Amino acid sequence: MLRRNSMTMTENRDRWNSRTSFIMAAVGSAVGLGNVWRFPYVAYTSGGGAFLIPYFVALFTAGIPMLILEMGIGQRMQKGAPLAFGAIRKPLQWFGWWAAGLSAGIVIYYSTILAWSWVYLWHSFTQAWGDQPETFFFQNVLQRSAGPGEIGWPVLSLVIGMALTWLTIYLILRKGVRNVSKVVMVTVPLPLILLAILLVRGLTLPGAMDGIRYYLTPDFSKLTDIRIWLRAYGQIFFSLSLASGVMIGYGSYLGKKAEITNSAFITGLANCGTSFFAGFVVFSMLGYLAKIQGLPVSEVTAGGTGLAFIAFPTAISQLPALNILFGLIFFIALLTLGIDSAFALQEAFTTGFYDKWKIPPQKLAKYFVLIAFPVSLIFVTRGGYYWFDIVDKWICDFGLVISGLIQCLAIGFLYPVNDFRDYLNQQSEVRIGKWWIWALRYVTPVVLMVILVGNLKQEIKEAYGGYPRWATLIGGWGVVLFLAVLGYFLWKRPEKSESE
Amino acid sequence: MPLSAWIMFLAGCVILYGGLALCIGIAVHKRNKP
Repeated sequence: MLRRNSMTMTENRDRWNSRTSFIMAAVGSAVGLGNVWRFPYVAYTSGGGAFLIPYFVALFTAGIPMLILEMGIGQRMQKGAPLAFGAIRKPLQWFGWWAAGLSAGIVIYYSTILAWSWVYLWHSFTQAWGDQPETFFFQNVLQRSAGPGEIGWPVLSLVIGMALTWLTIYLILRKGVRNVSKVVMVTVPLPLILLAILLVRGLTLPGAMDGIRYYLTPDFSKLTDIRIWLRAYGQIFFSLSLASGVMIGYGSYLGKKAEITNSAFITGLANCGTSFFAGFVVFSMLGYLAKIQGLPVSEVTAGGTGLAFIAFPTAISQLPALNILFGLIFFIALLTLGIDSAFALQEAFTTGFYDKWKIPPQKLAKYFVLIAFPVSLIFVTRGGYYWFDIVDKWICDFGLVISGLIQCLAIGFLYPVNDFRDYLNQQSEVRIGKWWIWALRYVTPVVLMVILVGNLKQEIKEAYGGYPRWATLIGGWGVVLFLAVLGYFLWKRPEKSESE
Repeated sequence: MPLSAWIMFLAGCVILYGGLALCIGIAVHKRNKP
């Protein structure tokens, strides 16, 4: 009876429309804002072209092995992260909920960047940032207060941006992965096309090649610095949406005979190819900006929000023609890059509720958005920027690193990993050797452990970003621990059986 | 641009886009195999 119920569950499970839809969704989840605003900057500050060496080593020894693991475990178990880990060892369901909770935490603060992008999309029509883009970003758009203690009210324009973000996520997820299958066919190629347009414009501007030279000229002496190697692993790890349950959830919607390893290779290579490509877009524009401002490229180089909302708008306003059009193209590209990652993260969390309590995707999408939208408003208050920064730092630098570590050790040592490798090889187009097991059991855990210890030492030495300790205790450790407590309660709540 | 930068550019293109094309090629070939 139990077996029949389990089979019915598997047969009734929502499915991707095609293998292409699955790969597109996985690529869409992995490719996000980090590919545009983090990779080029990290590469430039970590040895330029020479950074590609540790980056490729990290991709093939940690990134792709972890992708295979996550997609494979989701597909084999036909469950999202919580119940998939619970099937390995019962207490690991707690870990699965915590990992999925991290993805819920990420989507709640990640939506803030999309809210800023909506507001900038609107301002692109008038190029409202003028010649003071930094002041415009912090004072006019964010209306930033003096510190995290001064929270203030939410900023109306950002609340509207936030509402648009959550409405979009709800509309995409309300009909489950079949709807996602259709949406990703547009939202994944569209930003690439838009970036290609920006690249053509960038490369035809004076100074562009100076920017590219800064981006690619290798400094091989940096390869002897262990921190550069750790940075490459960190970049690969965060860029591929690993350890948050996203790829496990997406893999769970594959059929029982679906191909895994080649799909993981395609996803990993497409993600890194997008990062490499985005570097040319960013540095051609920065080269132009440096040329017209009469500054060296190093003076205008930026990463993160500084690049997207300060340096890029400056370059766009100083284009010789069609400034409004290129502003629109850039911010639509940001929105479409971010939205795939956002709904993938939400899906990673809500899949667990479908698996355990059979709540239909329509209801899950609605309930999640109704809870997450009010919570996310904290990040669009006047002090919201500081809280956004703190939560982001802790979830990524501590939460995801610990989650990745537990995941590798759990699968590497508690799960029959040789049997799992045979299973994957049986139905996949690319066979994986013993190197995959070594990567999971030793390479990735050791690297993640070193990153974690380094992050902890840094935090003990000096408080992150100069924030008061009470703020990092609440927004940092507090959030990570809250998700662990939430995970414990979700684990302990009894499962609803098929007959109920 | 120095030669070393061009070499890294080519290496990046070959590994990333060449690798991607190879994987997609394998997928298409296996799908079409009778």
